Amino acid sequence: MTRRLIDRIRPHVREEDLGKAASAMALALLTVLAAAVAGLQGQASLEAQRAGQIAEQIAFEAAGRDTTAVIQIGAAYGTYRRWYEELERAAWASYERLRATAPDEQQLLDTFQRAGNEISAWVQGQSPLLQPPYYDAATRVSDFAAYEADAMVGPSVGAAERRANELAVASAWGGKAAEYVTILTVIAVGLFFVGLSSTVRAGRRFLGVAGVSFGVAAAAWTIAVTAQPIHRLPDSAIEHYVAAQVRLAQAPDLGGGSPTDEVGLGPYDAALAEVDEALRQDPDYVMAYQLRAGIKVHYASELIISGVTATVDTGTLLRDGMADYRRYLESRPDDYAAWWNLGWAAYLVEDYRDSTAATSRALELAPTQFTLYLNRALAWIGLGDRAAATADVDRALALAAADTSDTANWYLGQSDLDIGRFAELRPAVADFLRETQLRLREAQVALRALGDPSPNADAPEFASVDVHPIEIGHYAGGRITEGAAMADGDHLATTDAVGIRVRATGQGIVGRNISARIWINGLPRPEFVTDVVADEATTVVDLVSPYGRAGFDLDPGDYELERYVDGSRRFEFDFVVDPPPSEPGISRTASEVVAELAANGFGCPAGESNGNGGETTCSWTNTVRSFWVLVRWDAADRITYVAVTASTTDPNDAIAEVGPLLFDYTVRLLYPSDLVGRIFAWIDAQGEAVNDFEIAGTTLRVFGASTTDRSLDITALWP
Amino acid sequence: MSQPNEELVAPSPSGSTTDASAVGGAVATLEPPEPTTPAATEASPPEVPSRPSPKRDRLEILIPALLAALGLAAALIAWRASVASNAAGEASGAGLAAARQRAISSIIGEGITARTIEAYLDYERARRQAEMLASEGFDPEAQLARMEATSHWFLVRPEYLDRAGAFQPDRQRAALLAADEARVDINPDSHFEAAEIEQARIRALLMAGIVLALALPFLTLAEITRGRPRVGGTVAGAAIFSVGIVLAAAAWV
Repeated sequence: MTRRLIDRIRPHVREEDLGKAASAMALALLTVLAAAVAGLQGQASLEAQRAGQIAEQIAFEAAGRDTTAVIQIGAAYGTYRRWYEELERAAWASYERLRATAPDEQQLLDTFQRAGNEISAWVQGQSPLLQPPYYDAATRVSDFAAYEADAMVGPSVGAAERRANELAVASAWGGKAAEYVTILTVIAVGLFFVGLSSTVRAGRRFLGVAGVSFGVAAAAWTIAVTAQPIHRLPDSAIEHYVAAQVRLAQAPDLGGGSPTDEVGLGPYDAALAEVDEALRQDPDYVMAYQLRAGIKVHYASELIISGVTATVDTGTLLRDGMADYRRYLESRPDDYAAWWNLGWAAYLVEDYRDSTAATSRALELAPTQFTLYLNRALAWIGLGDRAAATADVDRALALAAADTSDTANWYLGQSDLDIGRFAELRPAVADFLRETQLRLREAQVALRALGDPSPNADAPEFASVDVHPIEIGHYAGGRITEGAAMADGDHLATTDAVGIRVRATGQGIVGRNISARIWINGLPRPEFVTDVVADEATTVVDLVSPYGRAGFDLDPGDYELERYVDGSRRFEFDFVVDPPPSEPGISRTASEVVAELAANGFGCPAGESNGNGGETTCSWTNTVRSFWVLVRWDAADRITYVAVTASTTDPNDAIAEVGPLLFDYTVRLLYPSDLVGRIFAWIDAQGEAVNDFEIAGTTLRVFGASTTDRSLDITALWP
Repeated sequence: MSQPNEELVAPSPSGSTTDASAVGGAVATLEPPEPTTPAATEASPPEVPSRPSPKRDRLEILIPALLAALGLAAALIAWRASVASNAAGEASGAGLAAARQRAISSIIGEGITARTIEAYLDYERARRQAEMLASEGFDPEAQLARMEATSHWFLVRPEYLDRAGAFQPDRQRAALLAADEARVDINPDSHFEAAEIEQARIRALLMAGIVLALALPFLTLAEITRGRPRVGGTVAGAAIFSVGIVLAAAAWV
């Protein structure tokens, strides 16, 4: 059959040399193939360049936009600060107005107060931080995290993802172009063999077949490469990824056990929903696996460490997160952070062997990250290998000593929190964890106080240490009042203190570095840090934050006060600041309170009532003192507002004994008829307590949102 | 070894044995004419030169000419694509430089605007306080507030205040960008559009080159065959060549 075909073709060939003719045709066809591949290579190179150019363009634009966003956020905070300042000015004018007696002075203070209010209202319109949806007018609270997430995180992450996408596309096209170059080389080899077959006699057929085979292989390869799609992430998948990042940025920080309810956990769930959608739209979205893993592990870790109860199963979250990390690491095996988090997740699910393996891999990639040694130490102790765990803690502290940056301090603090929590959660290894925690704390203190993380083990003990709450009068220019000495484990109400005074004595401490630290809910607070060199046998330090100095009470929480001598801990003291009631605790109706006031000598005119309730002002006055108690109530006779005001004209009035109860400071009389102060609380139209308060028995207690919390036994006012 | 020689000396229908060495292009260079053996020459009858037909003459010229033109066209297309590639690269580079400059201008402009915003806020707060104090007759205090206001005013540009005296940051941003625009190139879009045009040109030229290359097998077929395949190959090759030339011309400018 082949012979017959050749016989049929031969007459049409000019020289009737079929071999030569075939070589010529093969050369021509290979040349066409080479031209086509060269064209495809050129096209692939163009696409690669184009995607690379777009990536660079996105990067430049993003750099401009991100930096601009940072500046705008700074300006927004600047406006917010000025707004707050105007509010404080108005409040000051209001307090002083109550004290002023001269009409001119009263008028001036009225003007200042009005100016403060009007200007603050004007400033409020100048900042997005003071506008919905970031500002809640009812609580006067701005959601900084939401604002920053929208202003910066969203655009920044979006640009980064789009750029990464374009770079991946450029890389894919570049890979194709490189493959086409290889194919062109194969075609050149084919051309060489075919060309040779047309010029030599020996092995002519073999050479020709070899050349054509190269050509056929090149053609098949070309088809395969051309048919291979370029993976480009859909824009909508990127949008969901970005939305997930924004949600995550808005998620509450649960660290330190801050109270959070299920609603507060919503951003985590929303972030997971967004990233799930991104992966549904593109299951090959590698970074989305990393993000989903990160959200799940962070979410579970926060829940475990904070102790916040939630309906989600942290074990499932962690195992799913680990699976996502493994999927991600298949594509990016050199990402040390992913190995780090995988190791941490494995530790949280008590898979200590996997934890040490993953953490060790992270350490191979990032051997100077000393937190990794601490993480591995936790896993080693979980496996029961105390020697390996101790060795890793030693390495971590040695690295902290070598780290001249301030990051060491931050990591030491963060690790302190985690280890402290796991000492509670895993009692079997609590002794090692507490010991490690102490080593970290002493290293942290010594690093700051001495410049080296090695504490002085021979530091002397204190002879005695006294701890007292500090109260500050809001109306008294920040005058500090020392409360009664506290005992270890005491509870304080938020109304009881704005800070802590610590008095320590000991002959041996003279010339030593004396440090004080307060951890709140397991987290170190930089606002409560002092380091001094004792110049006498008794040192007194006031641990009061700037908020406390302005009259804000201590935040509720578990407080750990520690004192160090040359970096070695020499004193521990725990106390609890109780939170205010979550709802107004009013045990008596308005009628009962008014009746009691009237029964005790106050003049209480009949209340002015309307359909929604009413109000009355009970008063008592003599030549020296005056008291007013304004009570408002709703249609159901529930108290909605209480204001207690007092004044005296006698600089030596014994009201000074009442003053601290009522106004939390010792009376300071500047003028005749000086107003001592007032205490007030109210519930807004929606039934929410603007200033949470309770009236139980004869005690009115106010948990102020905008004023210092105060409590008062009303009977102290009785004439 | 005898077969090739026998084939070489086989007479063509036209009686010529010199076609292979007479044609130009690829085929002519593929295989140099082998010397004929005396025995073979002797075995052949004496050739009688015949007058070539006009049709055969035309193809004898046309096919090599087309092959030569094909090579020339391919070279020109490659040159033009190279020029376009350079132009695209330059335009892309200029676009990126403009994008970078625009980012810098935006950042600087935002910094200046933020400075103005804060100065304006402080100025306006003091001014409003002065107005309220003056309206109540507290002139010394009002004067103090006015003096305080002036300490912020030097950073506020009055041209960016609206009729109500409110600062308009967008106006200042736009003005600062416009001022930069007059000084340096901060408009990347026109450059990127130019790069796109050149890249499209390169794609079209590549396509034209591939089409042109497709003419090569047909012209090769015409070169190595006789009779109808030769004519058909020539026609098809010429047609494809023409299409390629048209495509290249369309992409040229």
